[in-house]
Amino acid sequence: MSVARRETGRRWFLVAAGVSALAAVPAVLAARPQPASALGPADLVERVRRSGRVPFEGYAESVGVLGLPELPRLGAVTSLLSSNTRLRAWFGGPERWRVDVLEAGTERGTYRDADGVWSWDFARDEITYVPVSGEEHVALTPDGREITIMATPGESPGRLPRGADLLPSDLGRRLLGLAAGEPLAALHGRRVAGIDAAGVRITSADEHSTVGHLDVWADPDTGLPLQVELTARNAERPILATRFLDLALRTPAGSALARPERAADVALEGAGGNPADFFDWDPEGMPGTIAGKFAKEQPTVTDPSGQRWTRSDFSPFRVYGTGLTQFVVVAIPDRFGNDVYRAAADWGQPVQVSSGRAVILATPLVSVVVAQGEGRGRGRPTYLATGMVDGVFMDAVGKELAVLRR
Amino acid sequence: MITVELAKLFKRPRMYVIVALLCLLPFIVAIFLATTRIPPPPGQGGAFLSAVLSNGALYPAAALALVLPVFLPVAVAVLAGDSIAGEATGGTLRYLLIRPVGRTRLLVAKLIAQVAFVLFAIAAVVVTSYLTGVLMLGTGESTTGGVVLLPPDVTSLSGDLISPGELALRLLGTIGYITISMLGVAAIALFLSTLTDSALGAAMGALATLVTSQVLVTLDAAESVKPYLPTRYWLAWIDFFRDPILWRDIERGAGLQFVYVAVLLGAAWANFKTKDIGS
Amino acid sequence: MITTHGLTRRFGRTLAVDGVDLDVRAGDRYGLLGPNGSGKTTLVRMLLSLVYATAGTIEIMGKPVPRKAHEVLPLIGAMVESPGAYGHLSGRTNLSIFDAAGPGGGRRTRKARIDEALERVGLSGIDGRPVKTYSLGMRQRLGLAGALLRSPTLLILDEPTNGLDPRGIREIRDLMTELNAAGTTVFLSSHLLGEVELFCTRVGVMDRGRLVIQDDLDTLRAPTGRILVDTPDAERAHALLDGRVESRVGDRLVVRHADAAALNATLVGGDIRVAGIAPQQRTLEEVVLEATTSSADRVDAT
Repeated sequence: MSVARRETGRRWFLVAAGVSALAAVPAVLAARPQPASALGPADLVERVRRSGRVPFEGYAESVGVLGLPELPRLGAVTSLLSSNTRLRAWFGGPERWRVDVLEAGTERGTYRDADGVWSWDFARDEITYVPVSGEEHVALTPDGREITIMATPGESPGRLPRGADLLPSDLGRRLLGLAAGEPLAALHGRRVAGIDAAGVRITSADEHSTVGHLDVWADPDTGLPLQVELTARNAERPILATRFLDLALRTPAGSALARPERAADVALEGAGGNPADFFDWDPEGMPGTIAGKFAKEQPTVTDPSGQRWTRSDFSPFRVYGTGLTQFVVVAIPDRFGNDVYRAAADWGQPVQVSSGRAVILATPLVSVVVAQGEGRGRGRPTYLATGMVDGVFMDAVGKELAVLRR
Repeated sequence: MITVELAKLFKRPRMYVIVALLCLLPFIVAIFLATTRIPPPPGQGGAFLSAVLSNGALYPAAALALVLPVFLPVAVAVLAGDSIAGEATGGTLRYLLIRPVGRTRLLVAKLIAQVAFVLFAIAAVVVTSYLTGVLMLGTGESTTGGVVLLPPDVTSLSGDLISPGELALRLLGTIGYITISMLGVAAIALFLSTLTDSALGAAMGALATLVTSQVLVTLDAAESVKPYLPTRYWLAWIDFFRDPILWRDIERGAGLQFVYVAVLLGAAWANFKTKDIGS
Repeated sequence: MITTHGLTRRFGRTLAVDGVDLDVRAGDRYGLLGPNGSGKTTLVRMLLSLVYATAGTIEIMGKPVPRKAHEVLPLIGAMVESPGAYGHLSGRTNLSIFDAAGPGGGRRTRKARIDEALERVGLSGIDGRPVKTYSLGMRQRLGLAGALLRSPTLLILDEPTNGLDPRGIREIRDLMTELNAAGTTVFLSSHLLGEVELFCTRVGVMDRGRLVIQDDLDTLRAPTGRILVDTPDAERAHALLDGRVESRVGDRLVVRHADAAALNATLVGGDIRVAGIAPQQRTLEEVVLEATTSSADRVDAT
């Protein structure tokens, strides 16, 4: 063996050693021992519930593998659950936050400030403003009277899901809120975004739940959820996972929270495009029970004349059931009813119904049923029900919705 | 040696042809945009392409988005692949080495010359596309549709306004980041260039690596290796146009490129230091 | 100047250079002869640290190579096989680039040195035309100018007269002689016997990787102890020198004799007209053919 050969060999050895050292860095970092948290699962959940005012700024990524088809007008919603979403968030408080959904070459931002909710979409070069306070909503009561109520549509529970809802902090709190009363278990701690997080696992007691387990890791000090994983029954990998990759527990600077300067072009009173506009008023209301599940209590609202109304009297949707098996029924406006039904029928399975028609889309985590009652043309009443329940249960829901009349 | 390599680079007619081609593509696109004024549908087409219709001052960013994915890496791979293999084929490598030029120094000088090329090329693209954008697309001081008066400032991805001075700074950052992004390609091609005497072979090898990486980046099944792919953070320069600037991917991308450069330059050194020069 | 011991280079299963003990002394005009493929070029490349030896040692100017190559190479001017140049640049720019690339040779004296080197190789009149328009001979001269740029103490030239016309070859030979007289050691390799015979004082012959001959040219061409006699009276001469004539072809006799002058006196004394008389010397070609086997590029059926 010549000298040159030996030297070449030595140099390659050096390079190989360098490469393996570099490659080992992530593995070594990942293998660091995780500190155990003294916090019990119930205490952790309680802290999470009370974490709604913890200020932070950070970067999060969510991965959804739900595999929902695109429904007309709802594409942005289904893609949130079926793809990767990169989020940047600044949270100064419930009335002062900003969440950006980052995409290659574009950005969709949601800004909440004292005036309302601003949605910025760079690709469409479009800004939408939904006032939070002082907006008067004209609504038709079940008995045919026109009333004006004060509403906060930007914060309405009836709004469509948006990217900001995928933030671990938001999603974790929301799901833990839903799962109240379900069995809890402690999980091993984990390092998330540089914080030693404590974990809790929630399973569902209901046989019709599609949720195998819901895992939430949260900062044991502030209760802020840092990572959320939702795994379907009998699945190994989470179907929806979101976690912070960078997080700083500090009040964000005002400049980051300030609404886009382009918002100056939008006149406050000339706002439009309320996501809630998609839904219609359903004057008939919805039944108190569906498939044996009771409707949830609705908050009451007082109109200017002093009369009290429950939400269900003018809300387009209603929530049924308890815990993780809660499902929501939405009345689809007549003008979209046939479109939604057709899109669902392209992907779903028909449901055997006594009258009307219904189609069911069952995914490992979420089931959707679209039911249309008897009627002619565009006049058919259309309902969409969805929740983390299995197909068997949703089938029963579809049967009942198809025979509803408005 | 570095000055010699730079002199060789800038005395090369081929280099100017490549840069001219790089500048030509955004120019052609601008002609079509300016004459038809048809923006790509939202969320499709190149980044910033619809935004430049309202303000041409942002056209350099759109131009970089046009040349970065294919054109620029091809140019870098071709030139870097040629760096050692081309000298070997031309018979000049042996004369450099017996001059003598240290082999390690030669490798480093070649890489630095590549950096100079990328800087020059991107700067040329930025300058020509800025002129193209401003002259052909306008700076948006006119009203569009008679509804909203658009400000002359450029709109960031986050909807904030970027003043011309700040735009210049962000473009400088972009030029720097793209140059760093191209380091990985240059290092791959340079390493392959020490393996073979065929400049074309080295360029093809580097491009094959890049295409593989680009494909894997879009593949969900390859999630576990994505953070290590050389092209993973290529588009992070777009984050310079967010408000506030999102440094996360930019930092990671730059770090990754430097790791690639260290490893590949090391490999090139290991292979080349006592390699027989047979041509 | 150059000393190698057991220098060996193996490419896979073939031995390109096999145990060569080269000995070039300061001031030599050394010619390395050998057919194509005999390992000359590999040997030259090893001297210049372009190719690394499998075994053996090289010492140039008393320093081990390739370990101290960075100290030795600046003192060597070399041309390896064809000259190399950047085709799109002018000759001057090429020289300037190569000069600036390495150590030795300051920036301030560069222009003067380039002019001088170009003058020496007969290219003082070149303009800014790119090298790709040059003829083969011009390129060869340019390569030589590159080798001379920093007045080297050792010139290593591989086939230096390739592509030159007879006048050009003569010019280059004169130039090398002149440089050698000024103290430069010249080591050249060639497959042209005539070139080496005309210029060199010392010859090495390579055959299939081995150095089969290495000696002074004069020693190789030592008198054979025979004398060649040209005479119109060949018949009578043959009779006069009875028994000492080895052969006769026409008017030429090959005579075994130690002293040409004495033989001439004998012949003249015998009233034999002598047209020419000279001691027989072996030609270099004979020496080489004797020492080497068949041509390396010949492929015979076995």
